[in-house]
Amino acid sequence: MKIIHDDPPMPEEIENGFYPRFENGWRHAEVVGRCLMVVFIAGCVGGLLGPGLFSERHAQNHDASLAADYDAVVRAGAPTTIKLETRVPPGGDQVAVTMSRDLVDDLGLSSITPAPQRWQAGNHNVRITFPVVAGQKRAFILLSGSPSFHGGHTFWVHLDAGETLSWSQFGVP
Amino acid sequence: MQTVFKAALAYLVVTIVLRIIGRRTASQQAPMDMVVLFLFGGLSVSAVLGEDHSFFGAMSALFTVGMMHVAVSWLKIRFVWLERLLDGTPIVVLHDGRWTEQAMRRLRLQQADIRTAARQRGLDDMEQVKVAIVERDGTISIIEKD
Repeated sequence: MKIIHDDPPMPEEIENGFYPRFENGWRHAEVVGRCLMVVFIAGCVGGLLGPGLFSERHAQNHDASLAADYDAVVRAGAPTTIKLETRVPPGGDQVAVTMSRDLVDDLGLSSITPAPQRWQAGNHNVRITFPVVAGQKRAFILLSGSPSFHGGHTFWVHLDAGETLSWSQFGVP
Repeated sequence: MQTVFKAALAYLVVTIVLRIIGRRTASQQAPMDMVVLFLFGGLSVSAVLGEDHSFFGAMSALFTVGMMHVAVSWLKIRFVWLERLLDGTPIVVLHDGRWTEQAMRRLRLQQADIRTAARQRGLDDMEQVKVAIVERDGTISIIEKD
């Protein structure tokens, strides 16, 4: 392996300004690299590469029994929240939400507000019962977690009597 | 395994970004340049290790970065084009009293930086400077007139 290269004599190098052709070429690469960094930053701020200005989405099922606010793009390992709004059965003081197992597993569900009254595990889903202030027509539930998935992923929830609400989120590293 | 992969990727990304933002920062000439380096270090650590606070996790990242450095250094010896790509080449910014403004602008250097280098060399007059060269590591070499 050759380590000593045949560089021109130093006075000649200095006279020629060393390697101006390379430095001019590198300048172009530098500008392209900086532009790419700006585009990346803009993507992050805008919400294309994680939670950002335009990443929040709202989904609602046809019978309006459930609605969800979530980030369309989430980052693996970074905290994210899903806000669920559910219809409360008339005169009821609790609401039961069945959610896909992926919400617990792939979303890394770490906290639920308010604290559930009861958990029931199924094969591919989890049924969670929440206490509700008597007389309320709608209830608000906050799910927090750190996603561990990459790429597109679909989650779903439904009430005991009601249509299923599903939404998709995209996980990035 | 993820930590090793992330550490290797972080080494490459930080190397490329440092090169892209220019050699001024690499030479730590001013406090504002050091801020960038400190932040780079801190952000990279959190990106590589995340919630993994274990000793083995940190060591695996440390060894990976060390071995990446050895590998890249070896490749730089083997391929001159890679050496130029990663380290750049020296740039003449002052030659026989003529400033190379374009190079100064690209390097984000001010006349004051060259004057500082001249003073550090023990010169009190820019007329005594024959050539000022910004080296690959961002330091400024002054060659005096005979």
